[in-house]
Amino acid sequence: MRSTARRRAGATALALVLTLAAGACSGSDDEPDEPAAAPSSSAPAVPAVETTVVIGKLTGRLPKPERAKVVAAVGAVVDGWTQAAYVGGAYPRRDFADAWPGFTAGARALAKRDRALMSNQDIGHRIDGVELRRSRVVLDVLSVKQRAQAVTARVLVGFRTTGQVERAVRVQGRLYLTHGDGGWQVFGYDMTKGAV
Amino acid sequence: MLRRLVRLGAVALSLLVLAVVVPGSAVKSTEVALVKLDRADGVDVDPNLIWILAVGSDARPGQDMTRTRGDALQLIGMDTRTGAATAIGIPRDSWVPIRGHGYDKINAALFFGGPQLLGEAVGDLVGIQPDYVMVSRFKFFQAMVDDIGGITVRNPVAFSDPNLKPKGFGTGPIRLGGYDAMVYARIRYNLIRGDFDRSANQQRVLRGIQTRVRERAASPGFIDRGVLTAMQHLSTNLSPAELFRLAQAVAHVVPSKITTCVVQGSIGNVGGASVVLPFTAQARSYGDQARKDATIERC
Repeated sequence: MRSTARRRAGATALALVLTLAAGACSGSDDEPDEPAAAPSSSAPAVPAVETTVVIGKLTGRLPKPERAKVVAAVGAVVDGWTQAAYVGGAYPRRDFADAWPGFTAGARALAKRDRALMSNQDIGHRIDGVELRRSRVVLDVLSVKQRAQAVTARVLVGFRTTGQVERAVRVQGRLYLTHGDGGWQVFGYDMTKGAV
Repeated sequence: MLRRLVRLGAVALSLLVLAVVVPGSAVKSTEVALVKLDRADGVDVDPNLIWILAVGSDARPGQDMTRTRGDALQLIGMDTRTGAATAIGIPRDSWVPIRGHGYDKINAALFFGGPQLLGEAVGDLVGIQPDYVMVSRFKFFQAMVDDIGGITVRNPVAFSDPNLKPKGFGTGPIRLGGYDAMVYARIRYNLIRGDFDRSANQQRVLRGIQTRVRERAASPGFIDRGVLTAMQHLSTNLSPAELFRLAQAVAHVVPSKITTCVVQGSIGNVGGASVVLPFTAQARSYGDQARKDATIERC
């Protein structure tokens, strides 16, 4: 449990960095893993990682204020998932039933089927902590009539586990979201997970 | 045996030379990493099993394509839980009952009552009512195939058309741009089994499109551009978000889980017009097989 405080500090400091880079893909998925640059103000001893959320490919027109809303709202959904599925919670951990907030009911059922990948269910009981090393989200946005209609979130999360299983893990891929009555929701995914 | 030992010795010597000669090879032991990644994908679309009637309209420029005659009719099912998909081809000249209009060629339903009535006519024949009816015209179809960078189809029999494709299509895997894909799906000039073979060719084109969409789906903005294009050229009342979800469902179909069949029939004559008298039991059998999982075991 030694990393619980670290995780909490990290979670507290997980303010989304809202960077807008409209019209062009910013950043590459091929960049090497490296510790995130922004340290936590609340836990100076342990560098906390901020999730960077940027607009990648924008299809259609979307005013800047609307882009900011999309970045904030979708960034929160993606971050909610990475926290609930990988980074947050009390390890050792066996319960991942709530690992997919922000997913539609159907997508939640699919993710539960793929829980070894879509959460830390595969190693949760053999680790005592997770330290987030990198969290980056690029949003490809489909906009019609100046309103965001659908988003593909390209996600890259890197973390290190401690305990019986000590390894660096990278979760990478795409989440698909549309906007419904409950706000932005993930209805599909295409993800990989592996030790690096 | 001796030769094998010599070969092994040569390989070992080569590796030794590499280890000695390559600078730094003794200290930099991990220049290359091979890591196993687990992959998972899924798309939640309501309903999980989607049925779409894809209609190629023969509307000429200026005509309302939803009130002409459907030239190509394919009932497509996708099971988003498994990635399976199926296409049931309907010969356009199938002589069937059309609600409120007695018997007529099935493609006349589009002229009589638009996409709704055509969907019902096909649904009555197969036993599965489509959730969506999508009507497009040749020009859009052609542009769409060009937009996705062309497709590849595996053509079993060479055929041609003196007007549309004088040089014809050879056998084997062939690459088709927009125009070629359109005429590949339209020609029945010298196809041995006429409309039945043409319907099977349309299914080959659909497979080619799905494969291409799947290949390119990860390219940022690819699906998004497709949705915008579809909104401009398709006759649809779906919202952009619904189109996006459908497009993702298409991209997640597993090519090896696609099955296709064409409803067969006999050739008849009604009032001097050549028609197809469809094997309705067969059509129902396809529907029965595919209803639960979008898979047809036997054509």
